[in-house]
Amino acid sequence: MLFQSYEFLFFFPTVFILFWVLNKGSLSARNLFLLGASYFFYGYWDYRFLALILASSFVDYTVGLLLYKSVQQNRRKWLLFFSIAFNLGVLGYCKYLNFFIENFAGMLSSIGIVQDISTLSIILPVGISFYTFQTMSYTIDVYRKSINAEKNIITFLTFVSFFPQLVAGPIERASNLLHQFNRKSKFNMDLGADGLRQILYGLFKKIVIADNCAVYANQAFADYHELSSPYIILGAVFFAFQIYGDFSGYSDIARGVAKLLGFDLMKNFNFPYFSKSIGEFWHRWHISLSTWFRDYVYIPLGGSRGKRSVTVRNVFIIFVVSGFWHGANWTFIVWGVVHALLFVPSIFREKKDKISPIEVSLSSRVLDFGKILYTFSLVCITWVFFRADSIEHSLSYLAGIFHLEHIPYNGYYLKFVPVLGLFIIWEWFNRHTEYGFGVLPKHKMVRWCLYICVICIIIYFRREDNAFIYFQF
Amino acid sequence: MKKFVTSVIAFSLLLVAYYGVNIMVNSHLNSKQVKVGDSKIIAVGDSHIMTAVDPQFSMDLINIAQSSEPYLASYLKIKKILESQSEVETVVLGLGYHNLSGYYDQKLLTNESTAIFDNNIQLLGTYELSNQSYDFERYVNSFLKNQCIYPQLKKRYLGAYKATRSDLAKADLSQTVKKHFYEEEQIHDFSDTFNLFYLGQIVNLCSDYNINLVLAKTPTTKKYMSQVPIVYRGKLQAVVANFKKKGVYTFALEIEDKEVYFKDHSHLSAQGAQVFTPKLLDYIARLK
Repeated sequence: MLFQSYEFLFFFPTVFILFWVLNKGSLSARNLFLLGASYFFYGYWDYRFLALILASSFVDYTVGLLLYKSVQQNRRKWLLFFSIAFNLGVLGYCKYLNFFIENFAGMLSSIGIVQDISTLSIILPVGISFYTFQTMSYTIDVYRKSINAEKNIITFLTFVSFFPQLVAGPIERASNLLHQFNRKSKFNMDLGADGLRQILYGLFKKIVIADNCAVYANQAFADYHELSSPYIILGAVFFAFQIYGDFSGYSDIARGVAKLLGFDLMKNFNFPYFSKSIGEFWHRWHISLSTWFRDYVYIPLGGSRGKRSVTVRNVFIIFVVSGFWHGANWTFIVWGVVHALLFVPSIFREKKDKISPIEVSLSSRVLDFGKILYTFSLVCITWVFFRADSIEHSLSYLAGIFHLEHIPYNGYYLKFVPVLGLFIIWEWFNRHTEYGFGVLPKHKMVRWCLYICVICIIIYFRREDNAFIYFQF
Repeated sequence: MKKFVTSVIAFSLLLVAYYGVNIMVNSHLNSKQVKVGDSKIIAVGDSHIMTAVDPQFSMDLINIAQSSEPYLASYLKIKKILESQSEVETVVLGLGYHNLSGYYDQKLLTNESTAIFDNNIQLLGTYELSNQSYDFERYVNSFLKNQCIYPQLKKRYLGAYKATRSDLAKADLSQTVKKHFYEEEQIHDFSDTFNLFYLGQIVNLCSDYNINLVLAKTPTTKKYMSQVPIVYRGKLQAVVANFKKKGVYTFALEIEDKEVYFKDHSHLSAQGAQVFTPKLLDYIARLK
């Protein structure tokens, strides 16, 4: 079920009312209801894949309990290994098997052994990368003894399948979310209103920004050979905002929905396109995934504690794995490698790339804007690899930037440029707020009129082909 | 919680009130828009009729054709007009080879036709909606967009005559032929879902109201004609023969292949319309 569908418009108010009614009574009944609602939400797309979530949840629930009871280190290691192997095995089969088959066949044919190996027809279950990583983080945390194992199976199943963040994150940690299922939610008027606002802003980003940018971006990536340089660059910029609006919009809706149920999900985006360096960008973009890789891959590998060469190696590993997490295509791996290459210089700098405020003096401000523009340009270049169908496609697209011959273009969607410009300005003035919809009129009626305006804009710009990009990951 | 729910309900009521007012205003405007005054002859169809029938030749004539208009929309417009007034005696409906093509159905059923669909979907009654395989979500989206946001002051449902200059020299014939009759290098299937079905519905409607229906084929260049697939020529003959049995009149005119008469290979220019319209009116006058 999509957040922006009419089905969800009926689904969520029903869940909201029943949830708060049940919240007054037994916690188990409330969680059982939430579990049922989450499975309905997921199964609405294809109920058969519920079996995969159930299998993954049962394995990690059991392993969690065994890890908690077990004192033998060797046995604990084996249990952890089993859980990771199972989760990655399912993920690998559903998501990466065909990629490996194709590349294996390609390798054999390149050395003269012609192989006609057919691939399998496997449907990628929506959100598998997200909930797999979530359950894995639980098992690893129990193994590390940083959290206790969850004994109540309903609570654990609800934690894994909690519908607001089930199919596209944020990838939650048990340490943040699991305990919230073990206490009664308390409704807070301000938090509820904030949740609704965040949902509205998320819908705006998805429907108005992402879906409309997608039209031009798709056109540009398909017909780039018929476009001159400025339009090719614009295509990459539109894609940058498509993916930002799409994914951060989803995260906002997820967090807003969770807030209305009294849950707090982690922040996933923090105005990433206002970053002044690639390092800062990764502190602001898909925070739940980058911190996942930091905590469960980068730090166990040694992080930045050892020699610089080891740090560089670790950085490359997490970026390549992160790229591969996004999809079974070399383009994602190259996207990861390019980001690693852009990130590595920061390792050799004294001053680390962390989120820093814009400087106050005029010269510093100008310099900061320059840095933001430079970083955004680099990010747009990397998005070309992410969006393209193949490496050849991405390289041809990038080569098109130097196609200086003027070809007139009268595409209707250039009219969307001012809308995008206004969105960037809006985000800039709201960059210190939690999600971009914070600087609001004080008077209630004026605020409500603003919300009605936003709803009208959403309806006006709504398009039909509108699934979230990150569902495919 | 009580305060929150009260606030949400109050906001929802405000939203509904805002939309409700717009819906009422738009319904009023729409009902006013689908009216053609005292006209006795209405010309309906797509851009081919829109550019070919010039109403300055008769006080009784009005051209309400719209670019890319499918017969579904023509049917709904004619129905509304006939239901609301009795002055109309003759309906002139454009019928060219391209109107038989599945290309028109595709335009309605796929996303590329959003603008055309949006312009016409609000005319759909519940009967048409339930009787056809329309995407309900699409209908709701379109309804919310067109009826709820602000008053639609522009006449959306009635088209008008459009005088065009000759641009034949620049016209891309192969592109036009490809668009009308071909799909991925193959000859396009005939319309089987909407266009031909609603052409039949228009015939029945005019018959029910005892109105003369003239199926008018507007002139095209010889080059265009030579590229129309043979199956389409046969199909048009068969369709026309079938409707003639039901008392439908047909009017086709070939005019001299002069550049000034054509906007492009399949549309008349203003000068071409000045040749076509009087002949059409003569033909209609003889029907009486």
